[in-house]
Amino acid sequence: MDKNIQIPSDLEAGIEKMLDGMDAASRILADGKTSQEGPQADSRARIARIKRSFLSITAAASIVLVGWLGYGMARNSAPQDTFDDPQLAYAEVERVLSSISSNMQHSVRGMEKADEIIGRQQEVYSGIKQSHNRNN
Amino acid sequence: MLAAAVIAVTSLAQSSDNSLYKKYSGKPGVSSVYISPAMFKLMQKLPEVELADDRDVHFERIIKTFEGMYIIEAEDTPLVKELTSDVEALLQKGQLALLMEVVEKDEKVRMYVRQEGELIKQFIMLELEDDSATYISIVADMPVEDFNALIR
Repeated sequence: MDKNIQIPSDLEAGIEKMLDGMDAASRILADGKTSQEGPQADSRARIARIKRSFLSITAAASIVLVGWLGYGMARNSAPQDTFDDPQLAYAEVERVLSSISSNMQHSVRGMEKADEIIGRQQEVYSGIKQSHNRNN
Repeated sequence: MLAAAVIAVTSLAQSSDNSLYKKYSGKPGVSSVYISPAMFKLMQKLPEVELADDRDVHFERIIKTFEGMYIIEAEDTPLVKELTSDVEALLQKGQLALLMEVVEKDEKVRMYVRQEGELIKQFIMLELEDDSATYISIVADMPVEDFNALIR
């Protein structure tokens, strides 16, 4: 807990006042009926009930939160390894890399071929242009 | 703050992959592979593998940067369309950029990366054919320079 945080001096009195107000309101709603022990005992019982409710709500929220986090972790936790033997795993990774490398080289060769075709077309176009210029 | 955002994006990517993997893994017509960060750590302790002289790309250095790999392959099943649309939805929210696309007859391959500075943090390849779909996702800390070696 951070000790630098200042607690307002009138906080406790404020809470008590609020609880008394809630208690008074509940008594009005209950047609002014009070228990035989008197208003102070009613107030204590009310505070105890509020505390119990607060604890119950907190506990329920914690359970929901833990369940939600657990579900999320189970859903996203890493799967089980396919291989037990690192050598077999290595062989599989090599196979995959060969396939990736082959696809990449294929793509780059395709681009080089396209460059070559474009280069040849430009040569033909330049030749036509030069011959056209000579004729004129 | 930035570090928290980076961690959040990485966690989101991995949890999306986990959810997708768990949804399809074990279903009829679907084959799946998952390699965990722990397994990649074990791989780093393997003795150096002898390489054939004719091979252009040395994968060991690249594999050492990997932290997880997911493969989901659906074939001849109505799940192909579902997987494709799930992956496309995942790609839209995963801050991934389209790297390249290869289209050939009935086959379409798209590759995406999530890059942070000089590191590739995630690579995704989606391979689509008429009756099959393959999703590969690699979570890594791979220098761009190493990644470019795959093209050579």
